[in-house]
Amino acid sequence: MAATVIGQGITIEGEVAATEDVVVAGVVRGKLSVDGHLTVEADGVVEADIGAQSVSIGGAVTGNVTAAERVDLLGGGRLIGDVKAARLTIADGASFKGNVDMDV
Amino acid sequence: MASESSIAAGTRITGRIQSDGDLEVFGHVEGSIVAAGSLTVGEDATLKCDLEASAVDISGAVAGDVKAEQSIVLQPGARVQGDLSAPSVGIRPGALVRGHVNAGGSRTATPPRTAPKQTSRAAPAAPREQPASSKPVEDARGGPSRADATKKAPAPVMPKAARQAKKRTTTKRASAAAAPEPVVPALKKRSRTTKTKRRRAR
Repeated sequence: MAATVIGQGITIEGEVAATEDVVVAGVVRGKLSVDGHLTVEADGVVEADIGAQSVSIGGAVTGNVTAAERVDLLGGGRLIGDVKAARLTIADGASFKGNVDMDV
Repeated sequence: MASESSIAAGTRITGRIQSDGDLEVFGHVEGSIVAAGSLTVGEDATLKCDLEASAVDISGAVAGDVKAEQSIVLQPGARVQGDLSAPSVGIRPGALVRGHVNAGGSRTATPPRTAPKQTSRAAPAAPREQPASSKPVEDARGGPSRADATKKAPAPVMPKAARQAKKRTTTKRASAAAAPEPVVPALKKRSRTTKTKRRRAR
């Protein structure tokens, strides 16, 4: 029970701040800041600005993503927004629209 | 849709949470939680929000109203500041509740949902009723201060009484000393009128 799981069928509108890992398989709108690893699963929808240690995106994200370590855009993942992270990987089959800033 | 969701202890959520399935909360939530399935509030959870679910199990702290379609169970150590309404409500020894408990048939549980809407709709109509409610007070004031005014304005006539009551408040300072038993709202009104008049004088 260490991680926060926002499962399928859950919709959160507002601000989410976590000090542990977060898994999103549902819908989050607003703001999402995680002091840990954020996983957006294939069914997950995030319409929020994201701040985290590291992010892996397999679902749909609309918003700017800022990560202290890395951002992984997985196959099937969709990201619309700017990425600011030291490391970024974009897998084959992912879609991405936005600017990248790896100058951190 | 029943993949389990949980909000961990280190997570703070400000806003609305809607769930089609079950939900476990161990963190901090401000806003509202509506779950179609069961809702579990863990021991260290602190919620400042209204809860709605089919079944609610609380071990932590909740400040807000709790509604359940089936049951609410407060485990030992639970602290709830708000109203509970469900067909069946269980409060285990060691749980704290501060609020109304509405347990019983679903008929008794449902009225609170419709009641606030009715009151909110009635709210704009309230000002219209206010002159009616203020009349008896002003009549009561006018009675001791001015016997003539009460004779001229009998209680049933609403608008005249209200107009004359306004005039009375202006002339009341002179008659205030003569008033034997001033009503508390009357004192407030006089003080307001004197204050405003002082301000105007400045």
